[in-house]
Amino acid sequence: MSEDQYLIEMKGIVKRFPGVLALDHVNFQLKAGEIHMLLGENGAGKSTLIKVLSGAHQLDEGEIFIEGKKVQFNSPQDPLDLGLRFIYQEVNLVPELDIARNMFLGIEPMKRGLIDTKKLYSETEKYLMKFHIDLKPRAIVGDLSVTQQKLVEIARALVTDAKVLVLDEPTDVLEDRSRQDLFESIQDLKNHNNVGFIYISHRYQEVHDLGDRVTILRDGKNAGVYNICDITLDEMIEKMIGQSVEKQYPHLNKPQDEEVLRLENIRQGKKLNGVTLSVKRGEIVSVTGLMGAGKTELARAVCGIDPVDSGKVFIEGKEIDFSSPIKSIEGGMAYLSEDRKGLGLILPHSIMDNYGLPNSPRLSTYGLVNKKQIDKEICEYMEALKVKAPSKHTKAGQLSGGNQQKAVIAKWLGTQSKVLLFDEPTRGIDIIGRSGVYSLMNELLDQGIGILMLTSDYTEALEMGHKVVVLYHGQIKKVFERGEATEEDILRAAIGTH
Amino acid sequence: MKLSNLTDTQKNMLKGMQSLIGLFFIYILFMLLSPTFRSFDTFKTILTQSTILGAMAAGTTIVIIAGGLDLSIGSIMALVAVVIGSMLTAGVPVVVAIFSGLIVGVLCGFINGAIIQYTGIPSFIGTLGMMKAYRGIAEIMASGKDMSAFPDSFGKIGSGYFIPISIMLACFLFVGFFLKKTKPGYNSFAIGGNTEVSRLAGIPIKKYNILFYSMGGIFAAIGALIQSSRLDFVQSTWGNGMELNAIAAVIIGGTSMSGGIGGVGRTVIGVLIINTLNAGLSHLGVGSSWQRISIGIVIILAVWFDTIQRKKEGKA
Ligand SMILES: Nc1ncnc2c1ncn2[C@@H]1O[C@H](COP(=O)(O)OP(=O)(O)OP(=O)(O)O)[C@@H](O)[C@H]1O
Ligand SMILES: [Mg+2]
Repeated sequence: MSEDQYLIEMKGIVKRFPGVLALDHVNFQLKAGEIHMLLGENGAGKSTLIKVLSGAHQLDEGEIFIEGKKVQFNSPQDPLDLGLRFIYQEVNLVPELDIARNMFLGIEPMKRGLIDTKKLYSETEKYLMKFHIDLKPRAIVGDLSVTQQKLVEIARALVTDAKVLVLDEPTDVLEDRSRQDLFESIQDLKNHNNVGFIYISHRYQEVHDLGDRVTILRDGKNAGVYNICDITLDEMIEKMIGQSVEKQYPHLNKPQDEEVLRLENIRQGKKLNGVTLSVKRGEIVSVTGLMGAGKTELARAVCGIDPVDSGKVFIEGKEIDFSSPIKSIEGGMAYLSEDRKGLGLILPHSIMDNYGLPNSPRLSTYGLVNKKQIDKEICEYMEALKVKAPSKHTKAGQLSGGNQQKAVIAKWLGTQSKVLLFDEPTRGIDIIGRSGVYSLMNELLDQGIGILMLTSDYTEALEMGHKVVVLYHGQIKKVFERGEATEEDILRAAIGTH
Repeated sequence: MKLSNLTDTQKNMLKGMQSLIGLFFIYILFMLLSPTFRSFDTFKTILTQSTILGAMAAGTTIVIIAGGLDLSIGSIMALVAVVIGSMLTAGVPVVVAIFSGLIVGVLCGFINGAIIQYTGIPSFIGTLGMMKAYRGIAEIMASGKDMSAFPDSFGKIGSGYFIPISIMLACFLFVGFFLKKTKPGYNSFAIGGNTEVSRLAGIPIKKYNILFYSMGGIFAAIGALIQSSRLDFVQSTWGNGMELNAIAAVIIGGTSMSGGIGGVGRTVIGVLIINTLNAGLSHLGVGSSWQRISIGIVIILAVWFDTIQRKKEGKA
């Protein structure tokens, strides 16, 4: 391969969806052995570009060259045959099957023309160990948390000898240690196997730390290609949004003294070993920890999705029944799930109808829904959160990943419950959208609402929490007051050394 | 909570056990209630009566695991029987007639699969249409013909216990092997679980699905073969409702109707449950209407137990 030959070259790519020009003559080049970042706001066209490359979408115009040869992808099989591997933004696993079968889906090890089941399971075991995933190869994927599913999917992309690895927001729900594992594997494959990487992320620090080059997209068009060593983090973000950034995190308002939520001794098998914590009116309590420490388990238990062995939940001092989701909602709680595709949105319905789902009871009189009010509220939220969509009637399934997340947030912010449980609220949301989410959260605090925020992003936990609770093996390891801890401190508590 | 202490392998085994326990329970119940039921002959009869449904349900298992449905296998059975019958009465050699029957079965299945895959219509609709069409063709081909009194060598296939039971066992073993060890069979679970994920993983969905329906066609043809050989005549009305019995057997066994979960071992049990019920009730002198009612109830119970268990597991 000559010096100036690209591993992948995409020229003049155009992709239209009904009413949307998602990609407008986009060019993109990837060299062997480079980590190429793809950066852009929510809805800029990043995922669409890689789906065109993977054959998941058919392109309308343009050409693709792999190692200098022009290719035409008619099905997802074709790029796989050429050594391209993809991790899509949304989890792509078969929930009914176990980890091993998912990990080797379509690439099962064969022996004399037959499936080599033994090797399938032993190889899976090996890769799970390598990535510190404490799960059995026979565990059913549908029973795993979104984070665990994501790790399985990452491991799956790494099991074969790939020439090119494409990762669309692989770290959006991963905490530090899992991210470090991933980065190590990436560096290893880059240095030893000369693999080329296309990497999409809204965690801009990691984009800057990990990447060699960056291609920036804005509104479906190219907005520059840079060597990352030639550009600062702030400049990079500025190029992406077309303006300089203000402060991202708002100044948090002071909480009141009165308690709005108290959890007492929540226990659930081996997952939760007696969690006790409280949230005051107007207070945000961040909860963080490693994968499997019990963040999502805690939220699901308190919201009545999974039953607990023992424990009590008090709202405004009154004990509530939390044995089912309906009871929890009636008790005054709202739960924003980390699993937006599975639990957060009805994808074939419009943004507005999704918003109406939990909010119509509040907005109806005598059983009649006040459509005008719903209309007005969703428009306000879409404006505040910078949801990029043709209209409020756009189907949720047609939004980009980050914009779907914004729609979920709007839906739950609207419920005006006394307590909001937010699980990875800013997952996949770009920098401007995050500011919008944070300032809306801050406004809610003024109304006396308490927020329990579960996050794997330590910066977010610190900046947006009056308190940071660190979980470790289903127990509270440490509670930091605001301004008391650094990310280091959190990590140390999270891995159990403190 | 207790369930979560088991390993996943144990859980899987337990799931297969559930319908097996049901079968034992029903069997023992009839042994207690009916003295004539308590004999090895009854057991052999049940097995022999299971052969036709068994062979057909084996094929249905694959189609359902892959997330599809085939309503036309009853009609395919009739069509194949008519083809074999008319060839035999016309004096065509037995081997050629059998072979042609199997080919017709594959072809019918292939057409089903191709229609569903290339038009994108739901399998329910596609095979409902072909169920009518194949039945019509069978009727046209059979009209005015007397198809009976076949050569002795043909009669051997379905007579007695040994050969038909062996054929059924071979069907089950083959499907079991296919699902566990071959690439299309192995991937049928993924296709039934989530088609889009499978497509993105590079699995040739269309090709495989067409293969699954074609196999369904072959097994329907095997059913036709056993029946026509056993009865020594052929009618175009055969197989009516057989597709639903096959689906019932698969579901009672514990294979999920929505695809992705299941196995042929479960279908074996499902088939045996249905035929044990039929045999047991007739030993007790209960009429066929009541047999239908009880099978209806068993279908609902089986799926209900399965639903309960899955809910429990989801929470554990
Ligand atoms: N299936 C679809 N149907 C219609 N429009 C779509 C579809 N998929 C994406 N779009 C639109 O195409 C545009 C680009 O979406 P894309 O998913 O590529 O954004 P993205 O850059 O990946 O954003 P994010 O950071 O939020 O993931 C958006 O306006 C989106 O609404
Ligand atoms: Mg995207």
